[in-house]
Amino acid sequence: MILELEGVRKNYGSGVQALRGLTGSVSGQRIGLLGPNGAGKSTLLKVLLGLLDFSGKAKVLGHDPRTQALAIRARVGYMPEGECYLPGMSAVEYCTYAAELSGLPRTPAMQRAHAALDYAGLEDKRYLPVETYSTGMKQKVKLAQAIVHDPELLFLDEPTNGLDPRGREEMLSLILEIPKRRGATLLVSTHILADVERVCESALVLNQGSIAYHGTLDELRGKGDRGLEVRVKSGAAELVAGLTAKGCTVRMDGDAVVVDALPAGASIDLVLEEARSRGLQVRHLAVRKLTLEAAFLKTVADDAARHATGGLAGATAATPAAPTPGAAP
Amino acid sequence: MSTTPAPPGNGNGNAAAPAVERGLIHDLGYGAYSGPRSGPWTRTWIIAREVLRVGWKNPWLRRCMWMSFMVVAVWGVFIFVQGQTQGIAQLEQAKAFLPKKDTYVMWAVTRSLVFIGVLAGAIVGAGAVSDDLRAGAFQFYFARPLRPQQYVVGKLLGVIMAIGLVVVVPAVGLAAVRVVMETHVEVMVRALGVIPRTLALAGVVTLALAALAVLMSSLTPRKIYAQASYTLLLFISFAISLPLAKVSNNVKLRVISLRDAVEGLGYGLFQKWTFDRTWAPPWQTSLTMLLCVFGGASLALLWRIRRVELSSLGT
Repeated sequence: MILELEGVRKNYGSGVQALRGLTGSVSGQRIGLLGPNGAGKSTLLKVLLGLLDFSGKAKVLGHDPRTQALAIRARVGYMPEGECYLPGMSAVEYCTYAAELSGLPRTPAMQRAHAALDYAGLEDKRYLPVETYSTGMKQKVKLAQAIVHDPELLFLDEPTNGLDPRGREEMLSLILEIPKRRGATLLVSTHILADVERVCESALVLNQGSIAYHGTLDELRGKGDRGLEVRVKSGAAELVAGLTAKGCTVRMDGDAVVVDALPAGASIDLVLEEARSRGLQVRHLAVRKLTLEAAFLKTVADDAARHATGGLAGATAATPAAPTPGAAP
Repeated sequence: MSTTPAPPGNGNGNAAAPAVERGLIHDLGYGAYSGPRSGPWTRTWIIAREVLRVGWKNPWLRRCMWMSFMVVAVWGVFIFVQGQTQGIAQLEQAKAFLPKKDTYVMWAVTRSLVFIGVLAGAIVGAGAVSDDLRAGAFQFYFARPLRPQQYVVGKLLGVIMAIGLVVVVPAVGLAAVRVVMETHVEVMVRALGVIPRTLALAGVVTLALAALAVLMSSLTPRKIYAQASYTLLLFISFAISLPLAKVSNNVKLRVISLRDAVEGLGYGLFQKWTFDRTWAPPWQTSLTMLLCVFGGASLALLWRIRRVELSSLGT
């Protein structure tokens, strides 16, 4: 288990409730941390790194952030959103310094700095001062300093911020490679949902200081509007009439036939048989899912509505089922 | 360097890292690390070493070292001449009015090296934290297994070492020169006491200057502002301390100037004849002032860094 939270609350002095009793267990290997501005993502990261006091119970990699913050930080790599390089340092000096501060002796620190920079694709530029680098190179240096000490858990904060499409693609490839190569777990905080779709297998959605959702991305997309979407070459109205006659709840959405509910005991074969019997050519048949963006917005809106109606019995998140890559929803 | 074993396994229950697959992306050897990990206070030394390394790259610190060398050479000449004149008959009568050789060592610290120390503090100390503030480096530091205390001690230690290079090392060197200039072993042994006294005097002034410089550095992300406020504070207090003491008829007020406090402590440590001690501050007050500056500035620095630590890990 990567994170275990039980009633984690954080109130700032100004009366702002940054975290409102987060409860749940978070596992998985590539987790997206999503949420609108002010949702509590920064506060959660600070709490997990042991930088903020809080009420409730929390464990990161089995360590308590209150009493074992240094043990957590020794096992966690953090790639911040903002610039954090040290003036006058070359990339290799910077990464060596980072490794030494994380507890590696000097010689291994230097060896790993070179390896991490090679991994990040900064082979020939590593001796130049970091402040002379382009945005893309700085992002790579930030990734290298985060992985140089061989962390088991990586907090990546907006890793593709400011990158052009090519740089973004390179960065995502590097990030995706880390769990495969080292077995490290990623917690990616980002506003770019396409990045989450590319890198993550599950998501932790925060809203107003509570967990609005935790589970696989497929489950997130499938929340709310389910049903089947059918497209036929022609005769959509005929199909609607036929399915309705067989007890389905059917409607048209543009040129698509949307089957909201099938009769009890019926399966998707019913739709195919009906189309075949009427001589209609089915060109598309799929479970209707939201885009990740729409699913995210819906999740946040639903959660806000629950807050507004006082229906928040407890912000909880269950461990998601192990996702099956490539499986149909 | 103390070492502790590497943390076992990872959070996914993997006891050992998976085998490194070669040839995937930029595969030049990044893999698992299973070697030793150093103890927590080693990181203090790593930060101190980095401060010193950055300072050493600044040519002004090296110029300060040259100035210190020149100061030692000049005061060394005074001590040498003093030794030679002892044998000249016409100066025998005047000997009672000449300062002792130890006094020259004290003056080298209180009237020369302390000013070079201020300059070194501005060069190295005033950028020690402000550069980190400007660059957002607290995210870098405090996402690692590092306590604010270790950061503060590391920065202070680095600046102390840098100022010590231009204050303590030359001062102790001059004291050693003063000892070896004696021709008789017995006199030489009796004169050895000047070395620990010089070390104490130069050491205390170095601590005070370093703490003040790093504190100023932590108050602003602009190094130039930190340098200006640090030097102005020291020179203005130096300029007003004597008039203030005379107006209030209270000699203890002179210790508001660090330089005067250093001189007061020097008189206490060396107990030597000087030209005018009427307005010299008592050494006890001077020592208290210098230690208070060091302790107070260090605590204020720690408080400031803890605040910054909690407010800078933005996402």
